[in-house]
Amino acid sequence: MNDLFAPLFEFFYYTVPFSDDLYAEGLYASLGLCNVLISLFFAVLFYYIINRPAFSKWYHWLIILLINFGVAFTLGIVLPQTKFVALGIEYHSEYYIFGLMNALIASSFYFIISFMIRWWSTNAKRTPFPH
Amino acid sequence: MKVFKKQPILLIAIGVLLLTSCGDDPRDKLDNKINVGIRNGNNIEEKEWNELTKYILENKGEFPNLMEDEKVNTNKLTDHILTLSEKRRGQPDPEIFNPKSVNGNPIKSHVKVFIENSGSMDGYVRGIKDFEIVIGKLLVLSKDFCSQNAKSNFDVFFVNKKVYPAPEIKELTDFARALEPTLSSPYNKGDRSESILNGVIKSIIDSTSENSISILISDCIYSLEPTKDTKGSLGYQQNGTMEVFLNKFRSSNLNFTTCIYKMISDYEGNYFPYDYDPKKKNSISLYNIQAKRPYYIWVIGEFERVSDFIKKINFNSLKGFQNSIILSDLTNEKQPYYSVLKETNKVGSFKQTDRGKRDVKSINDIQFDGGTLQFAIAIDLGNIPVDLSYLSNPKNYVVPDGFIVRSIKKIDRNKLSQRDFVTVEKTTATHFITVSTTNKFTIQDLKLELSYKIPAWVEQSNSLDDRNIKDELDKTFGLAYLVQGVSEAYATQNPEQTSYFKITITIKK
Amino acid sequence: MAKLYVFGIGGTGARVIKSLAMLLASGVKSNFTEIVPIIIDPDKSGGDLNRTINALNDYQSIHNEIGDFEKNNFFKTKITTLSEVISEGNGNPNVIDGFRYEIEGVQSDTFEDFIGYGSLDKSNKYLANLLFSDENLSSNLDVGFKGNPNIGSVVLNQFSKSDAFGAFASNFKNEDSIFIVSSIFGGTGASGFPLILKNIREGKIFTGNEKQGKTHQFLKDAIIGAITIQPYFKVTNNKKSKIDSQGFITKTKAALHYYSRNVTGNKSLNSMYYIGDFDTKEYTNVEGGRDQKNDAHFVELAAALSIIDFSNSYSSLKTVNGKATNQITFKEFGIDNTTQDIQFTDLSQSTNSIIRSRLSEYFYFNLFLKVKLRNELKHPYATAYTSKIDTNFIELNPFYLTLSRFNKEFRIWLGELYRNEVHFKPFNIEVITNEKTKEVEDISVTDSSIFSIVNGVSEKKSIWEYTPFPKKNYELYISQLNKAAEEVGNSTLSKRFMGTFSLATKSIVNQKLY
Repeated sequence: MNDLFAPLFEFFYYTVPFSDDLYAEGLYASLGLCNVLISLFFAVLFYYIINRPAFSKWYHWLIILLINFGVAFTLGIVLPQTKFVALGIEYHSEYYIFGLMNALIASSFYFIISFMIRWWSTNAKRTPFPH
Repeated sequence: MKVFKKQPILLIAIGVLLLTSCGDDPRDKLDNKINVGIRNGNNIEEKEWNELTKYILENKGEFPNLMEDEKVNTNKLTDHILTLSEKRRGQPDPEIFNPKSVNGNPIKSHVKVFIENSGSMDGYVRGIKDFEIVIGKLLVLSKDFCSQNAKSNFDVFFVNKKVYPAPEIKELTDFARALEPTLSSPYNKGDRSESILNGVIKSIIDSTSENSISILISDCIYSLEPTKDTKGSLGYQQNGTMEVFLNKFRSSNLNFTTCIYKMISDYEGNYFPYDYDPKKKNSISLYNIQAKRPYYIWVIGEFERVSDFIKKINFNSLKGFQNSIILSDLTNEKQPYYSVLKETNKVGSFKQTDRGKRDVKSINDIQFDGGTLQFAIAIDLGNIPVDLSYLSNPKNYVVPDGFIVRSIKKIDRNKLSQRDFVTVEKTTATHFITVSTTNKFTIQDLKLELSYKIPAWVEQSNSLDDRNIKDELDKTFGLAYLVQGVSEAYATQNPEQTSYFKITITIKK
Repeated sequence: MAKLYVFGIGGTGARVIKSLAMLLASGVKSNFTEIVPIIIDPDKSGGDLNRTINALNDYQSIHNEIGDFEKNNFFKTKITTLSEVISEGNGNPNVIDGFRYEIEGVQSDTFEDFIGYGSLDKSNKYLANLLFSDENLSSNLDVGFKGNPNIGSVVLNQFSKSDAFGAFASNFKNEDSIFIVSSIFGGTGASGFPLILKNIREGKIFTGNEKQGKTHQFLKDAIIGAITIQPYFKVTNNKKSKIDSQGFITKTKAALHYYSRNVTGNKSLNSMYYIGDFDTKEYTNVEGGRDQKNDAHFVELAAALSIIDFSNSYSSLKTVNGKATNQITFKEFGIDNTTQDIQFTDLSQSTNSIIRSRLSEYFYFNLFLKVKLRNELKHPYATAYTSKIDTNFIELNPFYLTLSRFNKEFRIWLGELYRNEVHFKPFNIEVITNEKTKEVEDISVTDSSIFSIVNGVSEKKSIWEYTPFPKKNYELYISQLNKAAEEVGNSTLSKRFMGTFSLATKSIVNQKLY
């Protein structure tokens, strides 16, 4: 699974040796999977669990996207950092750039999943764009 | 509006789950095996232990932290198992099979020290000389090396025309003072008028057996028949030396190691050049000139025992040590640990071909910077039986056309990039070799070898005409021929042995 | 398709038929799939008549567009005009003007002229003077009979000779039925009811000057029900008006006496309904014309219920040769609690089972369209289908415009019921009156907690109330709309619209009220 997600992440951000370390520690797999699952969760949250007329405007969807973004950003920093610090490896700005890219990727997943699942939402099927 | 029903969500969920495939990291596999073993009866039995060690040996590149000297280190493996077992909650420590130490020979080595005491050696013992101090220390260390249950398998001999046991030397407390070229000294044994070097060597070698190590201390000067053709004569001597060794090789199937250490000591005495004629009294006085002359310590014996011995004695730290050469059959030597460093000394760029592997032995996607590609390789040179000076000399390395070995340096936190240091810290690598190439269009794989050849110092310490000894105080007459003789014997025995190690880094565009 | 012909006689008849239309709009069921209201009132420009006819026209228009949509429950019953029935039967539809039967000869004459007083001989003149006062004789007929059944009976007798009646009779089928609504104390109603009944039971049609008539056996043997409405209001003392409510009681007694012999007594009626109330309310005493716009009264709503009841029970009734054979049923309307402010909780369980949910559903439907629809058009129920509910629909679509008009009438009707005495106050509303005319213009709901506005009924709490952020009020409503829209699916815009709201209001009334 590492190999599945690695090209995606590295398309957004590739720098040695940080990217190789991410690969070696299987972080692409963990973060990729986390992204998919968390974005799925947030999309399901918005469209099926919350599913309310009063919370179905485009900017409500955007709020959830931003929360997802924040979670992914944090994960994208914390997960690599915990692993690397434990191994004695030091990085600085790489974490933040990667966190940002991770958040962008998660947002894309959220976006795509939204468009896949919104059809069956009773109250939010036209969010964020009417079809 | 599409009409497909609610199920595609399930498909997504399943797809995501399927992506979770098990990693096949060998370290994870080993831990799995250990966990299975622990769970089964809260112990590691002999059979399970053997399985674990077998797996580790098969993948030893992945477990540098569990290995020592090419074998699985029992303590380290036991510690690792205990660490894993502590992760379970509320379970007592498992019982772990402890193999009886089968490493190393149960029988202690027998050390025999042979000190040449022919006339030419007088200058080293007159008064208090470094020679005496060093040999005294050597004897103490050797005695200690052989002790087992208050018994010592340790003997000292003087050798000139013949070999004369000198047991009283073993007990000497004031070695330096006792040894004097006087009649009353215990040093005065046998016929000291002359010694034939090849004969001496033969005696030494003959006395070497499976369990014993022989040490020869001599100035290693061939004595030639009076002749004008010194070179021819030396060549003849060389053959003699070669014969001695070859005979030994033929008669025994030991892996026979010969170490030769060049030492320097202060010297007060007469020097006898190759054309010395007692009638002509053409010895050269080396008195009162604070001369320093080389002498040689040879250590000969079975490979494992000698390796142990020289590790313990650490000749490099003895006073007056200059150089060494070690000759042995290296065909069983395994390839040392090595891995390309990702940042240190890098010019241009490259990617690790298979990122799943811990060690970088293959690179691709290379980019040249200003026409050059350069990178460093971390490598474990700890077990290469050569001098540091030999290791550090790029000329001793063989690389394909287009590549240049730039430097060989010891691994040091300050010389490596921070990230690279973190990586190599966990490995057994001792040095890093920097290699570069400008071959943009015909790039090929890097095959790096450390050639197995006679080190430069031998030739530099060689004298072909010792009549001007005062100008060549640090040289030994015919040394190169002597060493060559030994080396050729080994080369005959192992003709394919041309390098100490060979490593390959595959390079793809 | 069995039809029910409902004759509404006089002002009261018209108002009852209006209440009936409102009830049918809200989805109250009758076993007749088609109802044909026929309003008989000489007072052509009567305010109530016009309101009723407008409402009926709008109802028709709406039903024609969406009435057959199975997912919708509003406007389910078809309302047809007699003209349309005649057209279908390939007759001349012009014999009647839509819903209203115009009594001939009353346009501009006085009663004197009508009976041809001038051409009577002396002895007939004296007879006429005996029967009719001078005021009677000189009254203008185009404003009704002003509470004088003696005049009315004479004039209305011509109904049986009219082309309209002939056409009605020809088109009357075996399975059809008839119901007659009239007030017993008024002018037109009191006299018209027994007359029409007599004409129907005779079953003979005289067209032109024929002496014999054609017998229509189906008509003669029709199942007929009627409601006669007892006094429930008075009029203020007005010297200018000939109508005097003090005479209501006297006239009632006289009429009842007559009925006992000639209506129920001679078995010409199958089912008799009564309703009345204390005459507390005083209406402004106006002699008909545009100004006779009485507020809707609860009694009229209840009277409309008799029509529903009749339609649900007429199958047990039978007429042979113009006479009712089975037991004639006599029914009177009552409520559970005696009160001047009537809520659902004061009505009987059987009344509630007919109207409570339906009125509530339509009420919420009406409410949403009035206050919310315009601003809530971005939700899926409106936009997620090929036929979109958008501002175009609201502003330009003729169906919606008709519906809005009808809905306004409905609200005014509710407001009048609310303000009248007895008050019918099922919902907690505010009545908006016109400053000048004092008429009810509209109603409004101020409570934002929309499920607490049914008086006497508290909001039902479900388990969803205990989740964090439960959906409330309009949010719940909209979410039910979205859900209903999914169930309704794609259809023509008006059908989808009605179906969605029908299902959604049913759902919220069920979930939050009863």
